[in-house]
Amino acid sequence: MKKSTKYILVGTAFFLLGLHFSLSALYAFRRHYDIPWVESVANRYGFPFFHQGYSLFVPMSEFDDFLEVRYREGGQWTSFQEVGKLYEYGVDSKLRQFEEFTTANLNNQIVNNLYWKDGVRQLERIEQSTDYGRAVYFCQRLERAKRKLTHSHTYIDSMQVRLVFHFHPLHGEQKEDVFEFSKVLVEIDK
Amino acid sequence: MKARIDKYVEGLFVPYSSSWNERTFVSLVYAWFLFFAFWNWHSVWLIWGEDSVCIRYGANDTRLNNLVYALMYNLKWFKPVFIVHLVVSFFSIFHFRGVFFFRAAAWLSALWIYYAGIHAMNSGIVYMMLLMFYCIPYTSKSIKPFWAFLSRLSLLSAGLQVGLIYFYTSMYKLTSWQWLSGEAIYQTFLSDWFSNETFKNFTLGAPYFISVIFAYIIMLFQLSFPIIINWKKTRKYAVILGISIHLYIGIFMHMWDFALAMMIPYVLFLNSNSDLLES
Repeated sequence: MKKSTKYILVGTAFFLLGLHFSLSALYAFRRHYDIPWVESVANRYGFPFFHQGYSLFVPMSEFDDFLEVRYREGGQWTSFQEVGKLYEYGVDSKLRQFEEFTTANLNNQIVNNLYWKDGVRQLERIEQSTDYGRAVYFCQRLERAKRKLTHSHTYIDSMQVRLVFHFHPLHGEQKEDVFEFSKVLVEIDK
Repeated sequence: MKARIDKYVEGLFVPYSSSWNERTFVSLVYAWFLFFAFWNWHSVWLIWGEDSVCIRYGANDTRLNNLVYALMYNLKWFKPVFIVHLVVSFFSIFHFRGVFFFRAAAWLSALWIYYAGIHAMNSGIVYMMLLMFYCIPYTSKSIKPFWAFLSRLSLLSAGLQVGLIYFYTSMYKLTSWQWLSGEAIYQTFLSDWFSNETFKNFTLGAPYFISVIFAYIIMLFQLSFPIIINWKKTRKYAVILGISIHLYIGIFMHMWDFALAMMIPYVLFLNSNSDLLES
């Protein structure tokens, strides 16, 4: 290979590499600047092939929340149980991670007081949201899968979910709060 | 100066024979996808297909998005794609002539599967897909100058990406008051999801400044990573500290897919005689 060809190859490759990393950086930090045309170019480049999010090590908030569920099975209400325990998936499971994603927006609504109106707790406002719907659906899917696996045919006609918050403020007292949503009619394994 | 540039450019084209750590790094990148495909097998039905709980994709009506939709809503389509992904990822682990076809297919299928289940994924897979992309043209032994150059370029890109990720994340942390005040670490140690009773009790009993120290060690480590990993004197300590941080994420925060994704690139820096570090 000729020396000039090598130079051209190296020059082109390093230019493309520089361009790639620059556009990737602009894409990764797109929420931190406000230049529409730059953002548009970065988006076109970054999505879908080089998508990346660097805000991955986001700080933890002051609480943990747990999704709990109970069912009306054969005319009797079961007791509330945390979904991970009820459906026996470990802390390392993808399901656990997915549960966190599922409940993240739901708990945001509570944390941001979106249920609070005229001094009264109105959780039905949250129950109209897709975030709540997804949490209910998540439990339903797990219950259906469990029933398939265990060949259970006990009729379920209703269910109820609740979010349990464990607060651990910086210099304050460790507290717990429970947000119980309405009972909903469902038909599992009719 | 010109002589040095000449030497550097010439060095990129001399026949390439990989060192053990470079070969292992590339193999591990593809093995990661294979491993976690099996790890997550039990929740495939929950993430993909018409019954998926992820269905809330609000993307525009473009050809690419429709392709993703097709896979997202149709478990019948998903299974063959997933199996193809497993097979090509498996072959991509090995080093043989023409393997880049398998590696390109593994990357494209990973992208397709990722976007069809995007809400169930964390940044580990995004990061690994980038490394997967850089490793496509890599050949462990090449006599032809062009392929030797491409192999070196792919390792260089992967190395740069690793350094940049740490640098970028440190930038995010340095602009966050939770990290600057140490509260991020304090809350992590107290979290029910990401900690255990021993750590919780220790955090509640110990002085707060310990969390602050940990936070600053992590920020300093990530900010200086591109330098300390390339400087021979500090490389060993950078590797030990980095692996420890990611082991903590795996063991206590239970995010093994992310932790292993972050640990795999350290293999690249384990051998000082490797082509990448010498250059």
